[in-house]
Amino acid sequence: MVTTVTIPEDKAKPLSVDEVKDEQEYLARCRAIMDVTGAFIADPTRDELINWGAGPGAVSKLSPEKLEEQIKAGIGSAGISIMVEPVDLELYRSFIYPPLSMPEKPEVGVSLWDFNRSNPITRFQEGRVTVKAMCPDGKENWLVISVPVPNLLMCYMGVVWGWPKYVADEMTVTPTKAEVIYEGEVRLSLEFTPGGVDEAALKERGVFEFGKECSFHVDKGGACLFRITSRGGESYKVAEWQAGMVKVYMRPEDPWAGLIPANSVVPGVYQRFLATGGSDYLWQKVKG
Amino acid sequence: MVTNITIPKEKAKPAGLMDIRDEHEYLVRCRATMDQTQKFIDDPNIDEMINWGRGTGVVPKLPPEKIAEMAKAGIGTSGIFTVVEPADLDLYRSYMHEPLSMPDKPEVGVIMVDYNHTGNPLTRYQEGFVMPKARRPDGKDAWLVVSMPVPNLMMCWMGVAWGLPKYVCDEMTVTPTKAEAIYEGEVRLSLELTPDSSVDEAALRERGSFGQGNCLTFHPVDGGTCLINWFGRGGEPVKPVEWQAGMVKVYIRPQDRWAGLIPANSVTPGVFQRNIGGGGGDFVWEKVKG
Repeated sequence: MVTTVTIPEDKAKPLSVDEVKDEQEYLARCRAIMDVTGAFIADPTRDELINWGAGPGAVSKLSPEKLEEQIKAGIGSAGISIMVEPVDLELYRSFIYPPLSMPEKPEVGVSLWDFNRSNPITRFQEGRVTVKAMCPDGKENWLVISVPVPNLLMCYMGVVWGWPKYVADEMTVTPTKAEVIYEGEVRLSLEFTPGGVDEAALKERGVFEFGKECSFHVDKGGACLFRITSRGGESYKVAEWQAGMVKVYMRPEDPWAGLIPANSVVPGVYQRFLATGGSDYLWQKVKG
Repeated sequence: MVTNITIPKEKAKPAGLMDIRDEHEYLVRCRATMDQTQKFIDDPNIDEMINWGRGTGVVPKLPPEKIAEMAKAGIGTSGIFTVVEPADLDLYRSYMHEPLSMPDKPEVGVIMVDYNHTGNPLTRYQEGFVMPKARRPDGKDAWLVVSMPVPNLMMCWMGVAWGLPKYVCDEMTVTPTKAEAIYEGEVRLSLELTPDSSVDEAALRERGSFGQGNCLTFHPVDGGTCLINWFGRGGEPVKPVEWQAGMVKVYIRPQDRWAGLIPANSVTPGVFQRNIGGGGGDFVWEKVKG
């Protein structure tokens, strides 16, 4: 006879993300998001999931004072990002699964972020290796092909969404170095040296792949392609921004490592940005 | 600036399952299993993964004394098992995704077990199964998992990565007469066994582990999925060290889509059993070709 209690009864109903006070409440909150997402994916009559099911207009715009307060407090998404031309187009093409096709200008994105939304319980880090892909509706998105995270909760959620996540031993994000350790060794790192680049071109990248990702969610024995996007205007405020050169390391035995030259040094950015609210966060099913 | 340490350096290399001493080591061990699985899935030249990549013949046969010792220590896989005739064949058919097809005799397995394989509390966990039987393209039958409650994120993550529709419960209980999964404070799946000597025990014994060791899942791969069937091959038969037949009342939360597969509050013949694998065989993951 056995009883395993994972979440006590008084924490079993989901709270909003701002109300989460401990890991059990966070798990209950995240489970509820997974249920909403699963119901959206399974329902063939729905094409969009807006603000995790809360509907349009549910995310209010932050006041300038609140935004300023958050900037001062170090809140936001901070990380190092690059985008670079692939060296091996055959390998690149092998990641472009139907109904995706090659984009006009193939590019590989690599970034490592610290998502700090003011609550230490919900703070986590995330790496992304992405490839730009053309969706069947003619829009370009970034297909996530490897995503290190530091905990099982984020790993589980991502994997459900078709993000190939793994749990790292250790993750570090600073303005000059971001690193993922796996089985005691560096698996992904970005080393940033300020200066010496075309800042205007990098500014145009905005928040890089962030908010433009796509992935394949398992659905009815197959997979459903969906994208992340937003509607309703600019929803980010950049609080820190520094351009420079970034040395990229990917563990050679990872299949995606061959997408870029070993130890390549390319233009990139360290930045911290904040979500300002006032627009809608969307999941869209991409139809063929 | 942030550094987040999940696994300390001295625990970062995977240990054997029997060597696990804490949650860090268990996570590292499970990660390594996932890496091994992913290699198998990604390699188009390999159709079978045997014993998690270790190859055939690596699981020793257990001597009777060892089985007796394990039985005494409460080790094994125990739980309540039943099979229900489907109530809605159209709904049932909706789960038979290509290349699967309807079996000759559609049936829904409902099971909840407690895995206590080694006596190590770190690796012990519970798992529920709702699974309609399906026919593979080669005519063999296996059981497609359509819902799978578990009590922790580790098992949830691993299952989901394999395409299994797992979710993390508030609470899971497995006893000889009741097995229950609580979700958001309410019962989401339960099996209640009432011992009954009038049931056809021979027919229930023939069910063995009621499909629990012969499951199907659609594993994500390359923007699509790959159908996997896992099962045991060869070796000593599983030894039931506890076995009680009876009638099993099944409850599935009505708002779950798969609830309609069986009649509400169905009562069907089933068993409580605790099984210990006899060893000497192979655990196989097979890619099912269309």
